[in-house]
Amino acid sequence: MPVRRGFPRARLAESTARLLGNKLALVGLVISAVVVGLILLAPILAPYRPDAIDYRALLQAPSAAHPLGADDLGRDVLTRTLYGGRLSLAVSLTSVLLAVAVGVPLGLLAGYVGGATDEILMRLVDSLMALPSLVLALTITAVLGPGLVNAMFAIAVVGLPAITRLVRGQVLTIKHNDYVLAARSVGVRPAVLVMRHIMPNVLGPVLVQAALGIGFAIITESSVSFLGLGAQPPTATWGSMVQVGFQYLETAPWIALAPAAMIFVAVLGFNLLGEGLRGSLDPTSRSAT
Amino acid sequence: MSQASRADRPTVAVHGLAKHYLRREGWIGGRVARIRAVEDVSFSVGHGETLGLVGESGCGKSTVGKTILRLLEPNSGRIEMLGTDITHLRESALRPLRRHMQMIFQDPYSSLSPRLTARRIVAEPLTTHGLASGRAKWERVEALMQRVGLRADQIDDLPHQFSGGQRQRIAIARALAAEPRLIVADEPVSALDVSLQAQVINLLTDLQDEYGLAYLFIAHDLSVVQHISHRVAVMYFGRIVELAATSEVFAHPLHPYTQALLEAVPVPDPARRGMRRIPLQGDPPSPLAPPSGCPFHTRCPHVMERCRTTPPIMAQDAPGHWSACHLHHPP
Amino acid sequence: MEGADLAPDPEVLEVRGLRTELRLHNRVVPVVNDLSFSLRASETLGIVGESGCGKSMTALSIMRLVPDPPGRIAGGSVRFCGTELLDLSDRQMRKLRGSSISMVFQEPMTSLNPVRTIGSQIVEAIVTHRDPGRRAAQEQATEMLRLVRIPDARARLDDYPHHLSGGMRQRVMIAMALCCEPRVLLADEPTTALDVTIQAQIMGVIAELRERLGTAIVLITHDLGVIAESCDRVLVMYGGHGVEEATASALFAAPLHPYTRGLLDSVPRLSAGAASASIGEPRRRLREIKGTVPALDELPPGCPYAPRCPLASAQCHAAMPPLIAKRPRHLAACWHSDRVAELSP
Repeated sequence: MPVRRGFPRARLAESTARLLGNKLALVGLVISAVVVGLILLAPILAPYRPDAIDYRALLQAPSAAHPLGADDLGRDVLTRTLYGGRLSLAVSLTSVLLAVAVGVPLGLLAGYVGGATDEILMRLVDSLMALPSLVLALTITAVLGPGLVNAMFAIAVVGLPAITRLVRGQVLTIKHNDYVLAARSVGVRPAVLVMRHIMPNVLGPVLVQAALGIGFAIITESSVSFLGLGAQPPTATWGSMVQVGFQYLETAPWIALAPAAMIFVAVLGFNLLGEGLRGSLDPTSRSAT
Repeated sequence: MSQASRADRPTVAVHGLAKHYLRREGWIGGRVARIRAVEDVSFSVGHGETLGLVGESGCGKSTVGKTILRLLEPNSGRIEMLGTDITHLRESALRPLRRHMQMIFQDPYSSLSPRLTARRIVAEPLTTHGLASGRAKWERVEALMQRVGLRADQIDDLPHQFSGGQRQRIAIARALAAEPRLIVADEPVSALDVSLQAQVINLLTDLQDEYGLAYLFIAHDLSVVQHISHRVAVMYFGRIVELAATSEVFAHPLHPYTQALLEAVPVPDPARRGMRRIPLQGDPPSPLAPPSGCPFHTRCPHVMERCRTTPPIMAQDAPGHWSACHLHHPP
Repeated sequence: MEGADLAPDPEVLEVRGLRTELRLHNRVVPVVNDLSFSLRASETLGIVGESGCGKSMTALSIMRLVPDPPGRIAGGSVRFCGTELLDLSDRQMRKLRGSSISMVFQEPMTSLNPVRTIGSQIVEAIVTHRDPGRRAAQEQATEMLRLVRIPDARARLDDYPHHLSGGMRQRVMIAMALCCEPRVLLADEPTTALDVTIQAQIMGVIAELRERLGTAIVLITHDLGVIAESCDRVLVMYGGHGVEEATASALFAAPLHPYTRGLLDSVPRLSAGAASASIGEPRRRLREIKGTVPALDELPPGCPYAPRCPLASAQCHAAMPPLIAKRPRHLAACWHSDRVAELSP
C-alpha cells in the first residue's frame, strides 16, 4: 500500500508558512484581503443602493447619513466606492488572467521551439511594447469602441508582452537544465515535456508578475475610464468616479478622493503581495547550510 | 579482450563519431570557427560490461555520452544500439528505443525536475513508454526506490528535500525504470561526498551484476574508473588516445598522456610522497586553435618531428590494447 | 629546514575552542564547534572533511570573513603570532589580511574581477599593504607571476582573467595571496575545481613557494590523496568538530577514529597491479560508511558520528568525546579509539 503523506497539503503548508513569515507579503496579503473583502461584502456594508439618487443630498459633505459624502446626483459615495470596486477589480483580475492565459503558452512556445517561431513571436511582442502602455490601451479601446469589456481586452493586450517575455526568458534558462535533458533521454514527447517539466517551474515568477500586474491593471483601467473610454455611465468604476469627481475637486473633493484612495490602497496591497511572493514561492531554496 | 556477452553483438557500437560546434568569431560577418569537440571516436560496450571513459575537462567525454544517446546530433560517424543504426533515425522512430538507453547526470541538484515528486520522476519512463499503469506502476516505482536504497515514506517528497546522494539514487532509479540495456553515467559520483561515492559505486556495480547492464562510465577520477571498469578509453582533445582492458591501461599505459595522467593522481599514501615525476607542463590547447598533427604534441615529453605534422592513427599495439601514438606504431 | 629537529618551530597560528554559529530560521546552528589546533611556521596542516563539516567556515573564521548575518564567531580564541585576532578591530584585521594572513579560494573564476587586468589586481594587493611606488609594484607583480611559473609573465600583466585558463587563474590567485609574503596561507580547496594534471602543477607551485618563503599553510580539502602528498599534519573534521589530529603518516597508517578509518577504506585506490574483473563476475565492493553526512542543524546529542559508527555505544550517543592525545602527537575524539584497529579490512 503506497504511503501517501498528503503531499499537496504538506507543500501548501510549507509555502504558506514561508509566505506568512515574510513581513512584506503578510502586509500585502492583509491589505489586499481587506480590499477584496470590503468589495465582496458591498451588499451588506453599503448603506444604500449604488444608483439611489437623493436630491436632498446633492454634493453633501461627509456626515452621519453619508459617511463619505454624496456625489452630484446625491448618490452615496461610500456605496458607490464599494460597488465600483467590484467592477474595477473584476476588470483587472480578468485582464490579468487573460494576459496569463495567452502569454504563458506563447512564451513557452517561443522559448522551447526557438528559431523562426521565436523570432516572429518576439517581434510581435516587441511591437506591442514599443508604445507606452497607457497610449496602447487607449488606442485599442478607441478602436474597439468605448466600454468596459473592450477596456479589459486592451489591458490584457498591454500586459501580454511582459508575461510572454518573462516566460520565454525562464524557458531559455530552464531548457538547459539537466532534468530537461533527462526527460528527453527518457523519450518524453516535447509537448508533454514542456507541460510537465518546464511550465511548473515557470509559474512562480508568473504568479509574482500577475500580482504586480493586478495593480498595474487597476491603474490602467482607472486611467482609461478617467479619460472616458472605459466605463460608460451609469457604470461606475473607481476610475470613472474619479473622472466625475474631478470637476468637483474644489467644492466636493470627497467624490474623487474616496475612489482615488481605494485605488491607492488596492494597488499598494497587490504590489506588496507580489513583492512578498517573489521570495517565498520558490520550493528549491534550501533552509540549512 | 574477449567479451562474455550474452548476445553476439555489443550493446552499443560507435564508429568514427564526430561532433562539431560552430562558433562565430567577431561581431558582424566574422569567421566561423569549427570546434571539433569529438573527432573520430570508435568503441563498443557489451552486455554486462563497463567501459570507462576518462579525460580532463574539455576532452569531449560528456559530449560523446550525449551524442550516442542522440541528445546531441552527430556530424558524422555511426551509432549502433542493439544492432540498430540509430545515427539518423527520426525522433518518432527513435523514441521507442530510448527506453533501452538511459543516462545518469553529474549534478544531482539539476538532474531532477524540482517540482515533481520522487514518485513521479521515477514513474515517468514507465508512463512514457506505456510499460505499466495504475497500481502495477506504483508498485514498480516503490520497488525501484527500495532497490536503490531509498525509504518508502520519502516517495512523495520533492527533490530539494533529499540529500545529494539520495537524489543521485533517485536518478538511478529513474534510469532503471524502463529496464534499459545501456546506461551512460556522466560523472555520477563526482559531485558527491567521498563517503557517499562508495555507496553509489557499490550500487551501480551491484545493479550491473544483477541486470547485465552495459555502462559507459564517464569520469575524470581515475581511481573510481579503475575500480568499476572492465575496459578504459582515455580521451584527449576530442579523440580517444588509448583503449584497453583496465589492468592493461593502469599497469602498462602506452600513450604519454595516459602516463602523465596516472602520474598526476595524488595517492593517499604518505609513504609514496615525492616519488612522482615532474608533472605535465602547460595547459591543454584551446579548441579554437587546435594544434597540427597530434593534439598532444604541445605537451608531450616524447614529441618527435612527425608528431607535429601527422595525426596518429588508432592501432592495436598489443592484443586488445589500442593507442594513437607515433611512438608505438611507426608507419 | 636544518635544525628543525632540535627545536620545534614557533607556533604562528593557535586556535583554541573556536565556536562559530549560523542563525537560520530562528535556530542557532553551530558550524564550528569547539575547534582547537595549532600551526607552526613552515608546516602544512591539512584539514580534511566532507561537505558541511565546517572546514571552510574555520578558515573564514580565522580570517574573520564570516558573513554576519547570518554567521557569528561565538567564542574561543585565534592567536596569530601571539596576537588575539578575535579582539582586533576591523581596521586592524584588514591590515593583516593579504599581508600577514592570506587566503586562496576554490573558484578562481569568481575570485578575480573580470573587468580589471591581472596586473592591476596583483598591484592592488601589493600596494594595499606596502608602499613601493607604481613601477616597483609592477616589478614585484611580474616577479610573483614568474614565481608561480606563469610563462611570459610580463605580458600576462595586461591580460584579463578570461584570457587565462583555470589553472593559470589559480596561480594568479596564489601569486596575489603570497605577494606580501604572509606568515600563514589558508587554501580552501585550491585545486578541487581543476583537472588532475593541473592540480599536480599547482600543488608543485605551492610546495616550491613554501620552501622559498617559509609560509605556514592550512590546506583545506576533501581529497585524501592531496592530503597525503602535501601535508605534514592532518586534522579531520566531522559535524563541526575536530575528530582526529595526527601526522600524515600516522593518520594513514593507523587512524584512531572510526570516521577516518571509514574514509580511508571507502576511497578506491589507484594501483598499477590490479587485475581487471571479468565481465559477469561480481566485483570487489568498496567499504561503505552507512548513512549520510548529518545536516548541522540536525546533529544528535553526543558524538556526531555515532549514528553511522560501527563501534557506537550508549556512551557515544550520550556524550561528545573530547579531542585528546591517545598517543604522542596523535589526538582523537573517540571513546573507543583502541578498537578502531579492529575495523581494518
